Amino acid sequence: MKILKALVYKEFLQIIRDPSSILIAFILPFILITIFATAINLDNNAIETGLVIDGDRSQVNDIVSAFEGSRFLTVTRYNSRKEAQEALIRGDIRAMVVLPINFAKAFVGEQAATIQVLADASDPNVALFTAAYVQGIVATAQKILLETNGSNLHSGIQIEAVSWYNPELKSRYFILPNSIAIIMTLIGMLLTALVIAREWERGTMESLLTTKASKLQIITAKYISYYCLAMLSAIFCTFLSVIVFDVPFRGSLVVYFVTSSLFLFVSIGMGCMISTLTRNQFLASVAAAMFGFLPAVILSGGLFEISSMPRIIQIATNIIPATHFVPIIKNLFMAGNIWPIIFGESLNLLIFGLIMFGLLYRVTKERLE
Amino acid sequence: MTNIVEINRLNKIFQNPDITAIDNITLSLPQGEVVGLVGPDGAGKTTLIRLLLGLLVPTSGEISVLNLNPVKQTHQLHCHIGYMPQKFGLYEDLSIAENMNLYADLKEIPAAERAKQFDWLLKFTGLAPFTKRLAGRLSGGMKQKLGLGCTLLGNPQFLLLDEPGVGVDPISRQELMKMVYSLRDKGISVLWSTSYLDEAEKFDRVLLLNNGKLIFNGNPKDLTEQMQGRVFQTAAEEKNPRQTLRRLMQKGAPLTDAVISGRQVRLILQNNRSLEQIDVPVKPVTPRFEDAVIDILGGAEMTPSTIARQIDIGNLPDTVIKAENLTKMYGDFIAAQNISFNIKRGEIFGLLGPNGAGKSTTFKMLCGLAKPTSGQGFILNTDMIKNPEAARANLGYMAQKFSLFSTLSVIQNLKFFSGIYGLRGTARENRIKQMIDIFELKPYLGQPSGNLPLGFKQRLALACAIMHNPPILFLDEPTSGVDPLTRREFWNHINSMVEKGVTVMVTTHFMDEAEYCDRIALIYQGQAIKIGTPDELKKQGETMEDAFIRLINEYQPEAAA
Repeated sequence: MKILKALVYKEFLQIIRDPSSILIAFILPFILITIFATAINLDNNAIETGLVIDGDRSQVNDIVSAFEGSRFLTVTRYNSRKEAQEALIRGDIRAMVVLPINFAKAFVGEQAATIQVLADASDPNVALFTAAYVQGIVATAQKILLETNGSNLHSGIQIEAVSWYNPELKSRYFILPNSIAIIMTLIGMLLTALVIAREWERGTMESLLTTKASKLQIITAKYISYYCLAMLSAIFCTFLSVIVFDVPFRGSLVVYFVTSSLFLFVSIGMGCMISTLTRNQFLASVAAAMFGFLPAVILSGGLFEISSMPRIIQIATNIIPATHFVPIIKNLFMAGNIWPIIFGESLNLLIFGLIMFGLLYRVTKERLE
Repeated sequence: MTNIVEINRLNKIFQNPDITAIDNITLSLPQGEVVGLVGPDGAGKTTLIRLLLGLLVPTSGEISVLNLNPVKQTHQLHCHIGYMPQKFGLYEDLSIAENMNLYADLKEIPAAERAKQFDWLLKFTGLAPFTKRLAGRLSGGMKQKLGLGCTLLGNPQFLLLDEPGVGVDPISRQELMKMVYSLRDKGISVLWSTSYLDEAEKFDRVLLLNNGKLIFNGNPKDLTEQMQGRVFQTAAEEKNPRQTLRRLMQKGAPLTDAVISGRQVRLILQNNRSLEQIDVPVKPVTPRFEDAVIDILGGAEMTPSTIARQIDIGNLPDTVIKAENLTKMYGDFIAAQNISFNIKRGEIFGLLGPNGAGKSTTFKMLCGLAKPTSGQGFILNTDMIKNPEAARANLGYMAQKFSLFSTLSVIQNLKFFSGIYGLRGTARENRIKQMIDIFELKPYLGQPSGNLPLGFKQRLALACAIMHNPPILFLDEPTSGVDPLTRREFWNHINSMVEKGVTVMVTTHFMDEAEYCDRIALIYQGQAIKIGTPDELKKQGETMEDAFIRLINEYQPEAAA
């Protein structure tokens, strides 16, 4: 116990005196969270849109002003389709909306008509968003018309969409919690991946092996100290998200702490494993990025929806620990304590962590070969 | 008296690539001796130490250390030994006191005893005034003492030190040796590994390893004694000792070794041969351990190098390299201060000093790899700072550890280097062919250069450095970690080039290697404390190392004033 304490104390001293660990644990997350919160915005506000009206302009004044008033679209009017198309090709606008000749009649339910939306799909979101916004605007305008004119008018189809958990549909609300999961992978793995390799490189591991410290003590000391550092970093990220960037947190903090600890147990285990196998800081950091950070970004379901991936990839995502933590953290932030998810995924994380610890114990040698 | 180490027919074979690191060694070491484990890099020294510690498992054979089996009783064994690995095994971000406390905790030294041991160790190592300083900020010599201090915690009976003296200045090395002997007087046995042969003479016993084989086990004096009457030096100072050496080689004199030593040539006569065929007046000198080692290893190659046959460097001015007050600061750290010297055509000029003294900085400033903070450097009258490329065209540069592309084959390396030196077409083809002939690289052309035997790596590195026929050669620690025979082969090549008028600047931390130079600058703490011929620097009977230590001591009061 005394030996373990001495080793942990040593790790802490090294952490405090090594500016790079502070950099990785606090500065890097700060930059990442800020980028995720401000720069990455999947909402696509204010798409530059061209509007072309085929029929009598006076009949559609209401709807045109509804378009122009929308905060999701920046509308420019064009006199013909050709003009608008040219603008689209030039890149002046990113989408165009054509109101057909019979639109006014269709609007009050007398005929059926189709609004054409033409979008620059080099960014596929633009097409989807524009279509959705147009639909929304038309539906709202129709509703207003119905209310003002009384209910004697026969209306077209009504669409009513209700967004749960994220009523304002702010992408920041789901990106930030997921990015905390990614950052925790990064901290847990990258920091720890470097430390055991560093001991090998500097020859201190060889010294440790000839003292009374056992390999269990050496490994445990690494886990404890880097768990504390990564946890502080996670708390810092959560604080940034909730206080500075206004992301709601609806679950229990205790559950959050326990599940995060489990996840760090896995990440740190993976970091130690990489470090032990490579014994080289450069290789270890590359391996941590390849096997830890990238899969956590791409395949964990944090940024990209797993259900839209090919079947085989969907199955493969299960072997990535972050895949099991993302649902927990997503729910804790946006929905609250969803117990079946919390229990199920926590169990998965625990199994991951124990396997990793066991493997690590096996590959760590008390000799040099 | 009992033996602390018993080894019986020990073998250690590594796989991938297959290397026999320890080849059938049998030995026993009595208690209470300082034992030197001596041999070039790759001889098996570190492997043997790790086997003794139980950090490696033998392929076959038996080991017992302090009557314990290192593999089965590892933990018990570790309670009684102290081990200092290469690079000292210190935590650089921890202070002296924190490092000592950590190791005391890890060795479970009880609090009551700890104070007593710390007291003694800090006094013993002289580190008491610096306990709060971080280990990373200590000089090489202080790190080494702290390493020894941590090793001594827990009162071990047996100390194993892996290359404690590498790159450390000679004064610190001498101090460490004294400390180790005072430990021996307390009954502690010591195993000290080193690649410096001159260090070996001081040990009670020497284990000489070469290619994993134990080639000598005993008192170094006994081995040196056998050379009595076979080692000679030219009687008078030679005007051109290199020519004398060449002539002796060409005539096929019955020698096993001949090296330049200042203005003289030092010779070892083959066993049972007479001086008849030696046509210069010689006088007998006291043999050294290195002489004996060369002799057991079968002697050096005694034919003149052919590499210079085709060298033609044309006309050059008398002074080819000029350094004028070269100063380099890194922040407020002075890496080199006001270093000035001139190097004449056809001279071998050595920069001698411990690691971190400033030799490499000086060296880099003169080949344009580092920009001086102030001062000037000229290569063949071309300003090194204003016109580094033009100046560099006249340089051949051989970096430390033979910086070749180890995954490229020999021929690919030759092609690459000829390309970057701007050789094209048939000129390039011819030059490569020439290099292959001169250095006899033909049998190895297709092999990755990383797998070459050390001697051939050295040849290839030299071939790549002189591809563009430079009149000046810069060699950075060319023989560090190389066995004495390969080292002689290398200098044989260099000597033959110098005779053709090539000028050589070389850095080294081997004090005895300085003897091969015409003139030396002693670099210590960023300053050239003395410049002169080896004979000028040494007083009667001194070795180069003695001279260096004396000059540093003489220099320091001046610096303080």
